[in-house]
Amino acid sequence: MNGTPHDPARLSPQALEALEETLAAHALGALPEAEAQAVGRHLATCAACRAVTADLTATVALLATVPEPAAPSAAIKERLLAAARAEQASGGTAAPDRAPTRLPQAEPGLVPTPGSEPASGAAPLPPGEPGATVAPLPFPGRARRAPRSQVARRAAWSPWAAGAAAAVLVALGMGIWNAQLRGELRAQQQETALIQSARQAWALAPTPEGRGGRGLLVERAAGAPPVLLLQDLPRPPADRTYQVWVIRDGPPASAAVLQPGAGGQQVIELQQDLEGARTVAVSVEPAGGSPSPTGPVVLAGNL
Amino acid sequence: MDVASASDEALMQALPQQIEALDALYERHNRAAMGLALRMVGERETAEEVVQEAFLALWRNAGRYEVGRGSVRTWLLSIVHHRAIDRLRGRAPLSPLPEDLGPDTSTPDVWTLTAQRLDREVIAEALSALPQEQRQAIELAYFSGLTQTQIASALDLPLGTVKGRLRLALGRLRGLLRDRVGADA
Repeated sequence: MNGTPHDPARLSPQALEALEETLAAHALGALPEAEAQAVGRHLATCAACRAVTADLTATVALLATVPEPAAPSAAIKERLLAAARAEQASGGTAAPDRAPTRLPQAEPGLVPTPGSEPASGAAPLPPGEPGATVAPLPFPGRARRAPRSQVARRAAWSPWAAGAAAAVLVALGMGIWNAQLRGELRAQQQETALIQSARQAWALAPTPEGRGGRGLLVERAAGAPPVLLLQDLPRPPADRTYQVWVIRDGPPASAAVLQPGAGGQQVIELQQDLEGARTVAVSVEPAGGSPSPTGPVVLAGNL
Repeated sequence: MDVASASDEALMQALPQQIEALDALYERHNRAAMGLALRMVGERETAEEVVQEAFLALWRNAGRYEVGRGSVRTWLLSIVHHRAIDRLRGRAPLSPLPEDLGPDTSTPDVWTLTAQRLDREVIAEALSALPQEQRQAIELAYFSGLTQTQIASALDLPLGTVKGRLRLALGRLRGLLRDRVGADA
């Protein structure tokens, strides 16, 4: 299926049937991802197929009501409303069509930096949580590995209980992401999904060797890979790339390699889980990545 | 606003500001959402995650809802379906929301509007009135989240047969229900 609009009157009966089959499968969500996307692009250009699809979609939508209704546990409503309130408090609730065209700058202090307290405007931490600060990572710059005593120095970030994680995440970090990425639907969907599935979150702060930027590491529900949100990362030279490392007791394990020259805002799924992880760090490496860190570490956070 | 007596559409318009509106919509539709999610993912905890995600997506995207394009319930359930499919296919829940969330200036046809008023029992009845092989194909696609290729493989059928069954099933279902709408009208 391509971008050329169809004229149903000029299609052979066989071609029409094949087209209807594709649109029916698409309406049911039964096409493989790539084909579904191709159909989606075609629909943007073809009024005839859009009309058929609207009809099919209306029929498919009826299937949603067939299952016997069931009650979710009461905690779900509480969590939903808490997440909505937290987001509202962080000022990140504007619907996409009400978003400003110029993106506001991140408010300083929402993501704690070394030695800083959360800004007074930030939502308070849950009672009993320690003040959040992130120590610069004593991760080796060009050396193979720092002595354990250094790596093991733990920052004051404590993992949050799953129930509180979403709300705190919103208050501390997602407000910034929300503000800066607002208007980009995909990013917003990603945030929604992330907020929903967040179990714990940690900030990654720039190291003395870094040139700014920051990160938010999000551990999600079981089975979903952790995600690292990167912001304001300076672009590396075209032949260099950012690489993400998860550091446990052994040598750093590569968790993601960004595209050469890619910086700015990135949302990255890590290829490593955080089981036993002590530190997550981002270093500058040759394009294509490196088996072990060789370049300067620019962002790091201890878990 | 009196949330108890407000229409779903009015609640949607109040959403970004009023948490009470979200609360009210949740009270009205959580059981249908959970029913669908549970039927699809088969496990309570995951189904509840899907429900929570779907309502939050509804809340955050309320500004994109257009009165007259379809019911809030239909929209919500399409989000539930989409998110449940993400789970079934092992995808991170990051895929785009259903297309009918997107801007669309087309006017819904009569079928789209009348179909939304059909009762659950009537729809279930029509589904069970389909020939068994068509019902099976549609259930594997819609509720089990299988692609047509996976259905063909699961049933050991040629892909073309599955495609044909899905098309016929939807066409027949529509026919049965349209007759029903006509009969009620």
